[in-house]
Amino acid sequence: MSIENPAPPTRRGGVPHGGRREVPRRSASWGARTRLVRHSLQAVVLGYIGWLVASRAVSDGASPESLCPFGGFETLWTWITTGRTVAHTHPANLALALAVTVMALVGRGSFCGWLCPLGTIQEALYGVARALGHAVPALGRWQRRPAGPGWRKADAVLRQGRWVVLAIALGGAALTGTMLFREVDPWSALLAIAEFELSLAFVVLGGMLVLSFVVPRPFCRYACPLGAVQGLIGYASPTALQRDADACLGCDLCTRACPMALPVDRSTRVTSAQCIGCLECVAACPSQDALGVSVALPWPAHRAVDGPDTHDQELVR
Amino acid sequence: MTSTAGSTDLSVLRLPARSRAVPTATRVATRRAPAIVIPLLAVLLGGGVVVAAQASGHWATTGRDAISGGSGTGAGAQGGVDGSGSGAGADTSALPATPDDVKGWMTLQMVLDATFPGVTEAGLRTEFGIPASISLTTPLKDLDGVLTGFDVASLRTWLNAAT
Repeated sequence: MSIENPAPPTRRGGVPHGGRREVPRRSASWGARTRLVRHSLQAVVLGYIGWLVASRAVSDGASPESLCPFGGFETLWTWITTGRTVAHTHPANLALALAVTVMALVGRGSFCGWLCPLGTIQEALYGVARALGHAVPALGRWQRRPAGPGWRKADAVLRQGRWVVLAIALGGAALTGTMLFREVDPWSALLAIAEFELSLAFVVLGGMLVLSFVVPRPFCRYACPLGAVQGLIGYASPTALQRDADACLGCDLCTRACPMALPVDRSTRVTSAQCIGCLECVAACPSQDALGVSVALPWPAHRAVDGPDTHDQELVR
Repeated sequence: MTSTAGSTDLSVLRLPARSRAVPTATRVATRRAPAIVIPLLAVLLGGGVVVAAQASGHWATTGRDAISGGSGTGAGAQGGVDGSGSGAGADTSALPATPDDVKGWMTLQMVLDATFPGVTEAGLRTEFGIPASISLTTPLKDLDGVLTGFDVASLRTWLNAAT
């Protein structure tokens, strides 16, 4: 598994122009094992929430809403200023908000990628839809459409929606002492599915589920305020995905595998607030050394490299 | 793509011949970590926070737990997370200390037992049109939607005004 016939490195550690070299191939089982662990954790969390919802339907148990970390962020201001929590939130929400903060500091959006049940549902739906897309040409065409230039522009604009939702949710809760976001929150609607009555939240939930057939994780991309909070906290995280251009084939499999459609193949360190840390890009990368997770100060220093011999050194940021 | 000196080795990839970048680790002061360890560590630490919150009594998933829970959290402090208060006796500690502590899971009887000045059963029933057929042991949230104009927020407002 070692590099064969390496071209002699320059004193800067690079390989001269025109040099060919071979790099270790990543074992396919690495991706399979990683996905198994991730999907197992997602299934455990989703199963637990499902059990809570079912228990709630047959008895007066704890509300699954008390296990929503974003409720903790919504109630934080009220709790700090009055010592109380806003309606529908409890101390468990605050503890979970702290837990998610710690997770974001360690692994950026890892809560989204590894635990969030709403993300799991969207991911599962898209997975099913992808499989169906091979059999249903119309569905397949819709799934390929988001790769087009027109959609990319719309996608870039819609992604800013998370910040708008976050501002409204946190600001509204702080100013009114009520959970404004709950009225449109698809997660809240899903938890209340046993007591279905038509509301705006159910309309949003329905739209999100339908959109999940053509776009991976649409709510995470465009509207999730918890993802936005983690993205902000994640900027202080010492860990990030890192691409080593020297070992990169430029195949863009990583970008295609990313459920959030981040341009991994054109980044050096993936510090986007939208990264959910699912490691799908790493699992998809055929080169063992090209993509991985690195640890550094949140904004790592650039070492001095003398001489312009790289084609993508400008991508360092 | 994978042939080397006439043989095929599937464990290596041959990169296309072109200008190569200086390795990222040479340019940026970072250190590689095993990729799967980071998210698992994050999950473990997040779980640790939850366990610590539960162990220290700062965990409640209903207002009932927050007010009357055996962790000794403060009576009437709906958040109940500051650990203050006597917590003496589940029956009395579960009662709302102020109108703002009234919650949907509480019963009409608990509201009356809280002895807010000026609040009587007759006054309560008259104000919200609660018929005598509705028992005092009915949770407030069960009245929400059944009685026109009744919800917990309006009850709190009325209690605040009455006291």
